[in-house]
Amino acid sequence: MFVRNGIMSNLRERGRTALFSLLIIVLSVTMILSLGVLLYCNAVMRACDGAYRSIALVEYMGSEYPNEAVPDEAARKAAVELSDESILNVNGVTGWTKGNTSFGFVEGYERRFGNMPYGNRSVIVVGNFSNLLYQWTDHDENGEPIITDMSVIYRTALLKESVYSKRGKEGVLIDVLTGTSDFVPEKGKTYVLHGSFIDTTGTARDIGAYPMNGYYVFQIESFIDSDELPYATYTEEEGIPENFLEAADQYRAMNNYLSVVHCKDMEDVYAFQQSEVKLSEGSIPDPEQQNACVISADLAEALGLKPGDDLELFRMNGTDTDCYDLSLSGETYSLKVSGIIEHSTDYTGTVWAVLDDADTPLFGYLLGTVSLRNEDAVEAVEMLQSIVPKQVRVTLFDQGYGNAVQPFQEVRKTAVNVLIICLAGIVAVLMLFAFLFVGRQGETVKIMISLGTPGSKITLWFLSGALLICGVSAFLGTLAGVVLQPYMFDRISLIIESIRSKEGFLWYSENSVGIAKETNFDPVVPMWPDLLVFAGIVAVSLLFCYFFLKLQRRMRTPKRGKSRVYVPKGGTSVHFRGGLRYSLLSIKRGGLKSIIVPAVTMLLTTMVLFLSGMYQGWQNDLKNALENNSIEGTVVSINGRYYSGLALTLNSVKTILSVEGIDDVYVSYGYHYWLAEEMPQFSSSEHGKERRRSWIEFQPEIVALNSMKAAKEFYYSDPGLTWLEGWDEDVLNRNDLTPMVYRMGGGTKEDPIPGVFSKSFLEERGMSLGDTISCFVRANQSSFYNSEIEVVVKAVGTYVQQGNRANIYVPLSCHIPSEMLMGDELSDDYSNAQRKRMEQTFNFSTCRFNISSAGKLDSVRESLRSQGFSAVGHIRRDRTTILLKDSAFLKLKDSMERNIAMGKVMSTMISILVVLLGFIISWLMVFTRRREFALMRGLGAKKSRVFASFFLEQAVLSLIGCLLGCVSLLWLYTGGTIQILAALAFLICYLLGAAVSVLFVGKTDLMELLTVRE
Amino acid sequence: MSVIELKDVKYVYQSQYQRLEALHGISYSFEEGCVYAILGSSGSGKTTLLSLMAGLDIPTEGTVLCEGVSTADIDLEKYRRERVSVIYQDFRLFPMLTVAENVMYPMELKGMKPATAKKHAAELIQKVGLPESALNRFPAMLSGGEQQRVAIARALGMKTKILLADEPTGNLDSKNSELVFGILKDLAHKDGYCVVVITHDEELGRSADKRIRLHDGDLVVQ
Repeated sequence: MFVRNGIMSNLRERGRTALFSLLIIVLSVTMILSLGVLLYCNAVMRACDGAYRSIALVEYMGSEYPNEAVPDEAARKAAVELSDESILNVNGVTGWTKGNTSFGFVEGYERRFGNMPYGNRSVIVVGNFSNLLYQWTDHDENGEPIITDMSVIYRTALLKESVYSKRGKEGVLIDVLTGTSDFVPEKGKTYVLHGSFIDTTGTARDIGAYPMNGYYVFQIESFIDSDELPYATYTEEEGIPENFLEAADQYRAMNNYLSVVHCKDMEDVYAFQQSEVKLSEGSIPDPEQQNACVISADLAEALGLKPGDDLELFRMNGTDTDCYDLSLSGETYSLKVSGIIEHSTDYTGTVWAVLDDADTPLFGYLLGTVSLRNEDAVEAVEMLQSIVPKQVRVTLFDQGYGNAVQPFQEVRKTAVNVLIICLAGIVAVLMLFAFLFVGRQGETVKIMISLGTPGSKITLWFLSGALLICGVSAFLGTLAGVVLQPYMFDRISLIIESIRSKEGFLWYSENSVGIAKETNFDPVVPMWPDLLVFAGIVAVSLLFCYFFLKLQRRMRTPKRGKSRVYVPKGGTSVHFRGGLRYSLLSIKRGGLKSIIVPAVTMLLTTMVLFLSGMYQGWQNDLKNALENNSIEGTVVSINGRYYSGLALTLNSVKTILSVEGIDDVYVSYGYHYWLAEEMPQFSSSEHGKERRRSWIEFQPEIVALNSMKAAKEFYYSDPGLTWLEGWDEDVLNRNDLTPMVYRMGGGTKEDPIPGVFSKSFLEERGMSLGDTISCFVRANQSSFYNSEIEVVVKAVGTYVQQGNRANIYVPLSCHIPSEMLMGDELSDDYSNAQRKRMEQTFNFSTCRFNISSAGKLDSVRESLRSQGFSAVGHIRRDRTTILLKDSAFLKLKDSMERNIAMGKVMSTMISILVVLLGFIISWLMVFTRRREFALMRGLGAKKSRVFASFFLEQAVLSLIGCLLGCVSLLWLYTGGTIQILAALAFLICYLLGAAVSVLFVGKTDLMELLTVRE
Repeated sequence: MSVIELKDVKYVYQSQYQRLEALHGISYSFEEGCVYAILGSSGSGKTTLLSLMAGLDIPTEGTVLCEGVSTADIDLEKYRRERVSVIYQDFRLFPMLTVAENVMYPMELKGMKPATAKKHAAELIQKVGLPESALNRFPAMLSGGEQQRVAIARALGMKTKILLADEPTGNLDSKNSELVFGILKDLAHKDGYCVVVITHDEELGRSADKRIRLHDGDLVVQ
């Protein structure tokens, strides 16, 4: 009976029951959906975490960058400064492997591709010499030829045997250049020759200019570090002389070296992590499998190795100054082949082995690799960047984990917020439900108590009704949510897919570097959390109902003489008239009611203001970020890792500069320079010339640039410039200097060239600002290849040197007139032929540019795309690859946009909730005083007066609350239009609620009103 | 002289599911200076009849004439404000207003200035036998009899010829009942009010000048 009566009495309140059922259904559907989305996103992110690997490369960005094979003292010093402990202590770091590669040698392996330090060196047996075919050389007074560097003497001969050679094939005719040797073959004899095959198809056009007969050109050269003759007669009986055989063995070992990459976790090696190499057989060994290795396919093929086989390598040591000056150390590596990889020529003859540190001197710029936990990778890299020495860059390569999970992170955040709002909403609705269905049934409780109904029965009566309404509504909501969840997941996947496949997404962005894989997941979301939501809603509703019932029972049970009567304070007032008078009196004596309304409206106004203020703040921040942030762009290598040593054409730079939104372009080009007195003595032999060229390659550069920003040395640090009085950085944009290549022969317009010197360079040479110095530079432009030019440079500024090389920075016009960049007309100083040559052949080795307003980022991106520039991972018609340093800005922008998007959802939902609450509160405040209303009407008060009485009361109270709310937030926000409008909108909604309820009560039958008891 | 006259008054409570005819064509005439008692058991239509006389509604059929004018043809709000005053069993005082303000309320409805109304309220309070000190008290601080006397004072403040009372002594003890009824009788006999009292208290009914009995919506004049 009690259950039936409880249920029926609730069901008979049809309007109220329908309203609350609807609210509970809507809220539970939203909760189930948002919870489902949250779990779905979590599952996808977990799957991503398992599928992706994050590493960070720790690189020294010094003057040798990005040369992997040269020693860099500064990089070695930085490597020593790096503390293993401090790196491993960074949150998110799971491992740290120092960059270490050693070299090995194995019999039977012949390197066919990739770097071969002595690739052209050969020992060959040659016969059947022709007569002298060509001779150009000076002659002495007696008419005898003087063999010099410039001499060209060659004969055609038959290559009979290659003792060691990578180039010449036996049985073919070759042209033998005598070089600086005094080699003159005797007719019919066969010779053993030491020297190099010369590439006649590449840049050495000075050889190609002569009418060679054979396909191959061989030049006799002296032995390395030996004065023995590089030729000898050959007879079958005597065989190949010992010194020739030794040289052949040495070249064989040096050219067929194997790179042994020592690693702890092979999957965290850049080549594997970035999928530059692909496993074709076997497996990648676990970190625990010490001495296990993966080898390149060419090595496997040459040695017939398969996974499971053993590989015995001889260890080779280079010298501190040249890693390829290799000699056998006598030690061996004994490795177990675990896998074989397909690879590009970059990884020819490479062995990746789970081995301890190589214990070799550091060459190149890679100091090491940090293994990272995916979810903490970004923060870990930021932290690492703050602890590594100056000039060291930490770059994250996450295989695209960040990009893969970011949309899900955003969706998850929104889902969490919606869930929280729904949670707050459902609690509020259930509380209101319990209040109305139980809390306001005091009369019924009183009657039941008076009739001696046991407490348990009263509880049964009320809770059964509540259980039915809430249970059924929550069940329907949960069911609908569960049914809709798969559609919701599909929708999210589609949205994320559409974002990813959007044209131009991540083009030229820093975030696109290191994307090595794309994955799609379809995780299964468990159903138990949905059931938990259902159970939770029912439990909370019962809890509230029980609470209010307990309260009612306590209130309706006699207090044994302790009953208190509420009496307002204050005497009779005669102020004001009409409805206003009653309103004010009611406010004055309203007690708790007069506190609750302003308090609630204050709270709700504060919420509305806070939200609108936050929303406006985010929008302002975004606007400011778009307007005030500038984005830097760089031309990089196709994989995005290198930004110097490029060959960037003038046309490409001009095209970049023409893009709307790009304001400044900074370019540089370096010419190796040396001081005459500092150059060592080199022999005049071919080998000596080679050594001299090599020495020059390692000399610092005179770098022509239009801003110090273009100097690769200062990409990651401040140059610390000091200027001679009257000079400043504008000097770099001077246009009246002669390009280096046009200085040949000494004809220059000006001397000396103004230059910015390394402070230590000047100190070491006892120079100061204003002094001049004479030096030589080598031009590399095609038609001026290897031309050496003397220039005089005046020190007009100094910088703090970052790398090993004391570069001198001079105005860009020392390389190319700046007008050519800007597309302006050139002065008459240059002929048309010179202009054309510069346009076609002059390169830049670095290029940076600036987008002054981040708001133009998207349009710049689009313009670059339309101009056909390449992006990391996307080679297009112009191979110039551009990288925009937009990561920090995008992070900021994404976070702001996410906040704004979240703010939109939250403000909409909370505003609706707040307005609804305001409406409900004002409704309840008026509706519960129907008796007063009836009494006024009974006494003949006009509807307008009654309306005024109640409405004004609510208006004054809510206005007080709103004002208090506004005042309470004044310290936080200065009060923009949006906040005022938001507060006004809330006030209007609140008053609308009050007005509607007064009008609603006014429409009720007056006869009925007079019977109102409570 | 007849101040209020019922002519074949019928009233039907019509809901979605039920139709209840509370009054079946009642005709009667009420005059000034006389106390009328409307007796009857619960559900006989007493309160409905009083509500129609109080101008809370108009009859479904028939007319309620006040000084010869049908309530159906006049502004009921004005009628309630100027022609009739009602006293309820549960007093119906504004809990937030003091005794004086409760009494002043109808006066102010008629446009009287608050200061004048306050002075007049004090006189009325005195007239119903309450001390002046009660003026600034709130209803919750008064006894049932005192509250009912405040309700009478409020009714008097309306200065109408017709005073309707719905079980005015229903919540009072016999002593207070007598006191309140005495006041009502005085109002009729001394001040010429037409006092209509609804009661099911036979003894009280006997104290009235005229008794009308309602039985299932039909009038039985005694």
